Amino acid sequence: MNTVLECKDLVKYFGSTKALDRVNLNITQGRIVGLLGPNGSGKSTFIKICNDLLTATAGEILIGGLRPGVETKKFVSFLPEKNYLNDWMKVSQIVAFFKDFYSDFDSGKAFDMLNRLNIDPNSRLKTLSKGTKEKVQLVLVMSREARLYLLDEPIGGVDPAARDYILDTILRNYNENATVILSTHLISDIETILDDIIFLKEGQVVLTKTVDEIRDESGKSVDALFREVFKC
Amino acid sequence: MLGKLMKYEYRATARWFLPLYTALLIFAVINKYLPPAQVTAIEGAFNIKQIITVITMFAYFFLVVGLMVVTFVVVIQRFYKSLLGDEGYLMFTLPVKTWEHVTSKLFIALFWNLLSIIIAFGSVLLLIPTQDLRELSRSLKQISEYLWPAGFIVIIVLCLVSLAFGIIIMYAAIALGHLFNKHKLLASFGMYLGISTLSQMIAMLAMPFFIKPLTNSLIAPTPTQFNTLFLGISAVTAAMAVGYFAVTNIILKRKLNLE
Amino acid sequence: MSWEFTSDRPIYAQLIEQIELKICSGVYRPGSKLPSVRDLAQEASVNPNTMQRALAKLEEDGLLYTNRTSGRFVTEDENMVYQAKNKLAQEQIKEFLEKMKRLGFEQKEILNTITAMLGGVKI
Repeated sequence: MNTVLECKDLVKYFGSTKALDRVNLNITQGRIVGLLGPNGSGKSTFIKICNDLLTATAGEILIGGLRPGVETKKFVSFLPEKNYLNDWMKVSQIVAFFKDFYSDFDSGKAFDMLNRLNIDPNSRLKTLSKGTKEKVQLVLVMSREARLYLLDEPIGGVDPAARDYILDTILRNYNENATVILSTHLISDIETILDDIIFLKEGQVVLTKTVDEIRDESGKSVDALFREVFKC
Repeated sequence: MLGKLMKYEYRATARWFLPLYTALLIFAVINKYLPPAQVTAIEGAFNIKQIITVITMFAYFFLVVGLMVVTFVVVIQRFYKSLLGDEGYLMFTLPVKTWEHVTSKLFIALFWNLLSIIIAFGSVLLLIPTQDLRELSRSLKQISEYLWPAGFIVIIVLCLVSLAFGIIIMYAAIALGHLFNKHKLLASFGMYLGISTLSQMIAMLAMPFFIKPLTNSLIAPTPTQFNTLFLGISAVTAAMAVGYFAVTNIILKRKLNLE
Repeated sequence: MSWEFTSDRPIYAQLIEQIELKICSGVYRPGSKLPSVRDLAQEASVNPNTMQRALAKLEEDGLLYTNRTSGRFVTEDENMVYQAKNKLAQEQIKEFLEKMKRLGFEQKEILNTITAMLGGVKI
């Protein structure tokens, strides 16, 4: 059992606001993990620190035994919540861009997926709708043969059909050497594809279990349990 | 990786400059070969020739100014938008060191700045009537005899260092502005003023070391004194540039906080 | 071939039931090769590890077997499938009978109703 991500006493302050409060995690290879919590619970902050987009205030994160940096970025594929595509490129050009910088990028796979989604590689990114841009971003991220996929709210702003496609893509790309961590607050849609669940409340880990453990022990779905734990 | 970043940086910026350069040169050529129309107001009625001449002169003038403005704006915008806007998520996820990002943008910005200056001057030279050009080249020859060979190099070095300094100081100001939670643009502007002032103070403090030997012969410095002075200025500017580069790098590495 | 899950029971348990059902009803014929774990998981939109767990349990029970090089197969033992089918039927009937009892029906009444319905006679 290889540990792909190890988090020890991670703390993050933004000014005087505590976003992450002594988070401790241990995530093994080949799992699909759901990082669940309401808005502002620290999910995005955690994922950004994994990606070296934020620096922790205290504690440490090790990905594949290394601290987040240039070396980890080579095998970590990150899908942010935001739309990060530049507007002057065409779809084919951003595919080439990814191929240029990431040695684990499979452009054949990317064009395949784009084709299936009816996205014309010659279209300018500027002209695409918001939903289409999100699909392009997903295709780019999933076309990498990464060891860790970090998806921040991948199904948040998408229609139900696209949601199904995204979950389907995640399953299709699954392999025992890769791990997927996705953060979301839309739980009922994705429960069945998750292995492990992490509940994050106000920057603290309040629960780590597998989906079936939760259902077995509480007789409820994860979605139902979530509503209980995070009742307003 | 640095090369790849520069390649994309070039592509992102060329779409602005190349059309402008082309337009500028075209208008310079038009102005040069337009038959000279006496733009004497006393003449009375305007004729088409005069109007065209005036329009093309203005167009050329605006293009030159426009070029300077675009060069300035593109430098800032590329840094701000690409690294600190939403695109920052794309750039900082790449397996690339922070200093490589800053350097790639710096080099390409430097490239365009130099090219813009060369083309602007080139177009001005194009406009100068041929007899005047001969006069000009004669005086240039005199100056170059005085400066050759070290002087030229020193001047080029000074130009490059000053340009780089001018760009880095903007990067540093933007990076420092990013540290603020609100009113980032205003903060950047304030930082720019602050850094500029600081730089001038440093320069003033350092200058006496290079000027003292010069005070006796300010009117006609020897080549060596000239070189020393300009090299000294270059060194101080370079040192400050390195400092500001380091500040920018550290902020982007440790204090990055994309929305 | 649709997979349906309720939200309050463990997924792997439901997977075991549904695969068993497919075997018994002939969707997966005896001796036939099953799709790969990944493909099955994708079809059912469930986690591959969970699917693997369900398949492992069915293997343990003998309804499936793995051939190291060629993959997973449904048992060729038709008798075993028949027995599993029977067991499922009995479970269903037991549940039905309990419901009928709660409704207040006597055994004879139940039997008459069933016979009539099977014969196509309207009650």
